[in-house]
Amino acid sequence: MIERTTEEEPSHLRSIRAVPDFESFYRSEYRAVVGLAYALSGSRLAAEDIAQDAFLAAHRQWERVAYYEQPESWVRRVVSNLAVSAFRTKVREAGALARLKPRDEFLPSLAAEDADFWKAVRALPKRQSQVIALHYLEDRSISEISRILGCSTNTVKVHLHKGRQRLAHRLDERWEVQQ
Amino acid sequence: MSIDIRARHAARGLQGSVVLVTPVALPVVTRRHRISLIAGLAGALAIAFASMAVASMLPDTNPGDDTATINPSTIPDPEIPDGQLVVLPEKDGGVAAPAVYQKNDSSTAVKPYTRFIGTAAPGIVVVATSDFGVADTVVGSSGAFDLKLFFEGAPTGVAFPVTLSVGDVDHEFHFTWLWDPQNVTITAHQTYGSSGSPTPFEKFFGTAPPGTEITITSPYGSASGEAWEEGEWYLKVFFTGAPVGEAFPVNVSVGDKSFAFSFTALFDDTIEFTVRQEGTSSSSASPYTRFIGTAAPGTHILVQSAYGSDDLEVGESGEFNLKLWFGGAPTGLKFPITLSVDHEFHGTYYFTSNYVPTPSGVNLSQYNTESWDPAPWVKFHGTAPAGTQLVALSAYGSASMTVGSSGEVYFKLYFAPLPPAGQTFPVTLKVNGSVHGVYDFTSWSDGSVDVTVNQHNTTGTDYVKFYGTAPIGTLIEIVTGSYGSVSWVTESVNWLNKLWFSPKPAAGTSFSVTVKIDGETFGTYPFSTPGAVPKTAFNTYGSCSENPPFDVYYGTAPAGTAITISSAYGGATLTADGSGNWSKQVFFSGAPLNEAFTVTVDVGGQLFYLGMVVTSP
Repeated sequence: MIERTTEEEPSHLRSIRAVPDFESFYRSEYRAVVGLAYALSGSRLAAEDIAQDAFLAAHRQWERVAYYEQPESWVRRVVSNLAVSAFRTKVREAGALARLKPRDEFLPSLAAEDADFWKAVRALPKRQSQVIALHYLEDRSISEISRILGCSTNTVKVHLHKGRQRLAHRLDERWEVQQ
Repeated sequence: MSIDIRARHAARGLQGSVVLVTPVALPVVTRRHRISLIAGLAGALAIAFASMAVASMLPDTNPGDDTATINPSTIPDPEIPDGQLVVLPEKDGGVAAPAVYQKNDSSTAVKPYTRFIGTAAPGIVVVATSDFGVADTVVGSSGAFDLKLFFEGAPTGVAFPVTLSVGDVDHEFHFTWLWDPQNVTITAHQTYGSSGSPTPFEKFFGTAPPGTEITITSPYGSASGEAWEEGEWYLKVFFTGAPVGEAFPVNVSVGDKSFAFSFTALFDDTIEFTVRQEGTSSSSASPYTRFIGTAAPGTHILVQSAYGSDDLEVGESGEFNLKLWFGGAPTGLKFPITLSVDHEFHGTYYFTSNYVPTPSGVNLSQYNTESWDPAPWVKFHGTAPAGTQLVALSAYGSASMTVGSSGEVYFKLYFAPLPPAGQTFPVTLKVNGSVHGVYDFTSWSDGSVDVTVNQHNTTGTDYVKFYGTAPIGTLIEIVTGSYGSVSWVTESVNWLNKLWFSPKPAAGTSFSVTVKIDGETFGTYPFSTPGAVPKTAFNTYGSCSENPPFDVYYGTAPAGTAITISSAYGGATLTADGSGNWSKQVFFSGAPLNEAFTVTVDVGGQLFYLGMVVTSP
């Protein structure tokens, strides 16, 4: 016997949207995420490892992550956290080097002054380096950065201000407020 | 230049040089990767296996007979097709250089090799193969390569083929080894020139025709031997009694040639006595300390304490490292260690054991290493003697418990504030004050919380209970029409609350309870008190072969409830009797044979859908 009730469906079920396709998500975000990891870790090899870990974590829980309002923000948050630990970066780099030995000559290198800039960014306190990388590399707004890093917009503003101030001092550049 | 301009320039530089060479698509294993595998590169094998392992977790974008999806991070996929040679113009802008050429096609050396120099697209695998050796390289970002291929066991005086594969393109070359053992150049080389060892020695080596006699002579040591079949030689000479700091001559005769070298012994046996203690306390069950220093060879070092003693004689190196183990040292008591040198007191040192014995029977394991929960926790489980104190410490909170009489442990530490997503951090578990273990934990949650509502009880007399999850600060309301309501703002992601009915509903009452989230209805849930007649509907047969076909429907409902039975081929209306029961025979005239249809029964507004099929008599 079939039995059905007329109970009202919960409202959250009515608001379900289509699940984004992981592969499309991966293809559209991978390069930028590797770039962010590279800026924050200083190692191309470690950057790829970090990005892979973040995407694998997303893939494992894709049915959950896909429902986030901005899955790309979540991946960037994970990458930002994974990339700022110097020790873990070294471990990842060593692992990646061991696997990728035949292609170590193929590593692209940055121009000296660009490399100096990102080195100075990595020398900043963790939060400042994350904010600077997201702001300049990804051209993210204050509110977007606050969503990615899970902090308030005022916090982002403070970190951006202090980060730029320190960078200008370290790089001996003129610092102009353009917020 | 302002910091903004410089930053944006640096961002463009990074995007251009790194991000754009990263492949977007999940690449496939191509021929150049296979060449790399054939060449026996352990690294390439690691790439293939590690990549495919990772790829198995990623979506397969191009399943085919001859390809395998691999990790895009492992192998770059330049936009230049495999095997396409890139001819770089000469720096002066003149005629283009040839893409590949062989630097030498013969050799008279003991260890022969040939070199291939050329240009190709960055990332292309270049492999040189012959019957007597294989070598490979990957073209760098400059586009140039220089590959040296050594041969082993090659015949002399005979040209043999060598194939150079640049990507998919093969180039054929030849090589001839012209080594003549009797024409090997006589050479002699010295390795060090001096030594700080107490027994200094020197290594000499060189080349000479096989069988050539080599003699090394000096005032403080000599050696002799002959060149090997490969045309090489090697001799080691120890010098005894050599003056410290004064160079002396060493003559090396190789056949009829002589070579003059000099050697200086630097070892000074007047070693100053030094000692330092490493480790003055330990929490280990097997505590020890070390005494490290220098002393003249033969010096006797003795360390003594109430909980262990040891000694040694300093070796030729003049350095010593004495490890003193303690047994039965009392916890927390600083005790003395005396150190004697050649049976004379030298000094007193101290050590403290902080070892706290772990109660026997402690068996604890980590239950979970990661979590997606917005309120993440780590759990330890196992057994421990009653009364054992457990403490879990982390950067995101701590917890403690005392093991109860059952001896079973289910120990949870909730992390707050929320750890950064994806960041692994340590959790230290202490048992009775001693570190039992350090465990890694990773939280993947970014703090976002799904709203969920669950009804705990659908019947009762006093209350209805709901529980679920919601972001902190969510306004939740549990509302009934006549029996009261309750609302509150959540203070944690997991919530639970009861609505106590006021007034209490009469026995046998059925009504709805509405749950609202931030003012909007989330769901409506049924509730009844004991004694209420439930609304039910059943069919007796489900199929019929009589003419006319029929079925008998029955069920329960509160007295007087209107019941409507309807279908495309017949129906009926009735009311529940005073005892709460109802029953009705319904005929279905004109119903098609062997085609199931639905009969809808409306019991006081609650719908039931029952199946029916008419079969042949």
